[in-house]
Amino acid sequence: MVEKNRGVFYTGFCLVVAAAMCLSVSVVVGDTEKSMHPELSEQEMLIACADCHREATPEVEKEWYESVHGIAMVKCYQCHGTFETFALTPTKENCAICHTNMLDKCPQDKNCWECHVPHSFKAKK
Amino acid sequence: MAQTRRDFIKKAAALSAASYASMSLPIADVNVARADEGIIWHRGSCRLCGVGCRVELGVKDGNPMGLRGVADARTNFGYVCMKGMHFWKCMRHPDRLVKPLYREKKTDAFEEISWDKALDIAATKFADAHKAGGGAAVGYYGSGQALTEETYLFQKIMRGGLQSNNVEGNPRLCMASAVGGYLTSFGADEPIGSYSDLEKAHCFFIVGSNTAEAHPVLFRRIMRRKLDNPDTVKVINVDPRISQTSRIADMHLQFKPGTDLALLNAMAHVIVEEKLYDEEFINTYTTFRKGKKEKTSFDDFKAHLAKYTPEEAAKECGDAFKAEDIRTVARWFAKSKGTVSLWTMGLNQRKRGVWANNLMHNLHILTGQLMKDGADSLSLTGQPNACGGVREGGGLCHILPGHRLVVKEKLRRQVEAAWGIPEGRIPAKPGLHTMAMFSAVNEGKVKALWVNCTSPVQSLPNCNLYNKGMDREDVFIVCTEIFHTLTTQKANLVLPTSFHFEKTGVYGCTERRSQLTRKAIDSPGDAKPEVWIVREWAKKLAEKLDDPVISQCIKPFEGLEEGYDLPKAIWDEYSQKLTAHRDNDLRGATYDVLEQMADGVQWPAPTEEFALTGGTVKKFVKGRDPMATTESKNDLPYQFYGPAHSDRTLWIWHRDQADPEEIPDAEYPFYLSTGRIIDHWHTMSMTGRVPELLRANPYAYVELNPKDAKRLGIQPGDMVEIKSRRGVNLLPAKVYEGPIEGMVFAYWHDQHPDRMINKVTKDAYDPGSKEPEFKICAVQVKKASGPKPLKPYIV
Repeated sequence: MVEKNRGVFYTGFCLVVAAAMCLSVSVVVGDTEKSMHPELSEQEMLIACADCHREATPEVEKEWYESVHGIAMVKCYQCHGTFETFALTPTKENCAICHTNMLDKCPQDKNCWECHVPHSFKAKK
Repeated sequence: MAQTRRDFIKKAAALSAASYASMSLPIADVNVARADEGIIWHRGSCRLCGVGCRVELGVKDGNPMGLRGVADARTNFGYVCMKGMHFWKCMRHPDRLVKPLYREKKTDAFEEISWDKALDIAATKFADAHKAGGGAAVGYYGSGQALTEETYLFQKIMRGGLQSNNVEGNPRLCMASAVGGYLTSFGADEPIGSYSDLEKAHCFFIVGSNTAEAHPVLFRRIMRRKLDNPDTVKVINVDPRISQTSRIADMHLQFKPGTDLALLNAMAHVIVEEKLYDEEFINTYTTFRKGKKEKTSFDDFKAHLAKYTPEEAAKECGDAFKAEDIRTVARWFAKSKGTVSLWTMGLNQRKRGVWANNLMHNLHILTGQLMKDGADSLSLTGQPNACGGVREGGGLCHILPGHRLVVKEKLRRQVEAAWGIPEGRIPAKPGLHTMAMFSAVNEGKVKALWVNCTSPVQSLPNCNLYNKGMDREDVFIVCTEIFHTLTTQKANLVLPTSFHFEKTGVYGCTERRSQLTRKAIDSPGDAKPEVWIVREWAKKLAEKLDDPVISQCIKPFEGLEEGYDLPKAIWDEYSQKLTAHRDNDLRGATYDVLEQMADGVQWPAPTEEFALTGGTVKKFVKGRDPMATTESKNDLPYQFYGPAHSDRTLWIWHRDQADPEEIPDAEYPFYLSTGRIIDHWHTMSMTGRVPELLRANPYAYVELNPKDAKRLGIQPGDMVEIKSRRGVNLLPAKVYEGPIEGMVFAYWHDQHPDRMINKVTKDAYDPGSKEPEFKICAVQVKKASGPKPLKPYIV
């Protein structure tokens, strides 16, 4: 299958925010369960999540990019929200927007990530 | 190309230090897709793009709470994209227009006025223009996002009331060439097949379409088909730019912009030379054409193709692939058990867009890759109701409702009779097409213009030229909108309208599917549905022009409640009287039926009984399309009853390679092409106001091939000047192996004056479809500076 050269595409932005994240150790004030994203300036919030996470969390970004979500362009903010609504661990509520019927079929006492590997979305063995 | 880490940290510092003007972004809204305590879920269609995803809006105590996909809908099976999952946040947005706004002069500030005064002003201005210049002095410019009921009623008042065929809409800018292609190749507009072919296809031929970003939920279906069948399903992507869509491709043919007609002819050449065609199908159902009245033969066609050898075509396409690749692609296409082709603006927005469409259809007709499951020549529609409202509802200057041509007297008489207005009331001459309409605005010939649900200030090609006309003080402009746009900034009167789910009406998507969205919440402030606005305006217009025929046009709708009864009455009139026995027969698709269906009805659907089965999945096939039986003329299984081909055959066209209007030269050495990005819709007046979507892509960028960037000394993030003979943009650079060498690509959603790419594009248009050639022009490219902090800009 055809792959584009993503390295050159994004490098201009990756380190911009990687640097910002390294410098920022504080967290956004609020519910730590939900809001654990390092603090960013409003200007930095205008950089796409994946552009930064390609540097900051390369394994996670790669896993997502090669998943069905990555190919179909289901982006980080669709499950995790934006900075003010950020959820480190999406709930069933987030999955339900597209997967309502699967949630009805799946075990009701488990979260989605207990059966599906986060960011690759494959069934756990 | 590589930059040092120190360079990047410098850029980070520059960005961090940038002053930033905060925008009005409501951020607290969280989707509650599963919660059901006190929430009522209302079924409707997505507001954005032409896929037609079925969704449910959650409402609690009259307020929107979230949105989710409908799992049993055959369009999206429950999936939505990021635009679909977030558009509900527009409903209670603080920027919503909630009062009529007026200013006598365009240089004045707007003042809030009452609806009565606003409608009186609109009626007075249109009446004055009509008295001075007749139907030629007024115009309606609508949208593929308006509901069918809205487009239908607007055009009824314009044609039957004001005797003007100056009825146009933004689908002229995106779908007109597809209409021309379907009519001239198949004799009938809109696709033969359906999305359900995607799950049965063995070969996908995607040309001039970044489906992954422009039609994401449909792309998911193609992706799933490919991933589930990696060895038996082939995906071919043909585009000058490698895009996200290319990720699932077995082969990507990247070509010099504007040479794809040669490539498509070369594929036909291989199909003919290697006898990959379906001889029986050709002999039974097709004719060969050089012109509408000039028939040729298979041998003539073969001779015509002789010059399009794969070797010559590969050379003409820029030597970016091998001749053998064309042979391989042609074989995959012809030999597969079912081939679906998909395309959008890469073929349509071209000076020979109709020819490009014909050449796509040629491949399907030659190989018989039509009418069977898993095979179709499927033009993807950009907007949610370009097909249903504008192509079917009479929203262009040359067509009346029900796929009727204005120039046909018999068809005008049918419409006049249905409306109960005097014969001859509808002018015999088509009105001004979009580019002619805005040229007439420039010349001050159109004195009163109604712009509904679209922003031509930003979306017309070479927009600097046409924006001058919209600035004229002697041209009265009224806009119906939910938010301010760049176009409301040139209006005298801005009327606040209800948004999706705040009113009732039908959208018809790509696959001939009509779906109802019922009102679920009240509009904010004094915003009103367009159908109410048009009816009340027409009442005043009838008084001011003392014309009982205008009153007759709205008589069936007098006194009806605007949230449901009024649009239902309009739909009933349109579907029962205007589509009866037409190829888009929608008589079975009543509101009652549409409300029962999870995913609407595909036309033709002449009866409610048939409509309740879902309608016609495959047009022209006896046993599957009821009109193939009622219109049958012989014992053959396929009946091509479309209105444009009286010989009832499919036409295979001789169409030559044709160059774009503007080709790079020494002074303007690069090709420019433009397109969408997944997070934003059109001119971002809606998606730019949703923080998640804005932040994902806050500005337009220009994409450059790394080889060009290196030659020009451009690094990622540098500011780049893109200049044509018409205008200039200043855009940040993305550098990647996307655009072919010698071409740059820019996104068109950005409203900022420095980043509005339609200042640069060219306004040449197809002589048949009148659709402009947005996709190709010649530009200069140079580095203006290093990275600069930028601010999103929403008017």
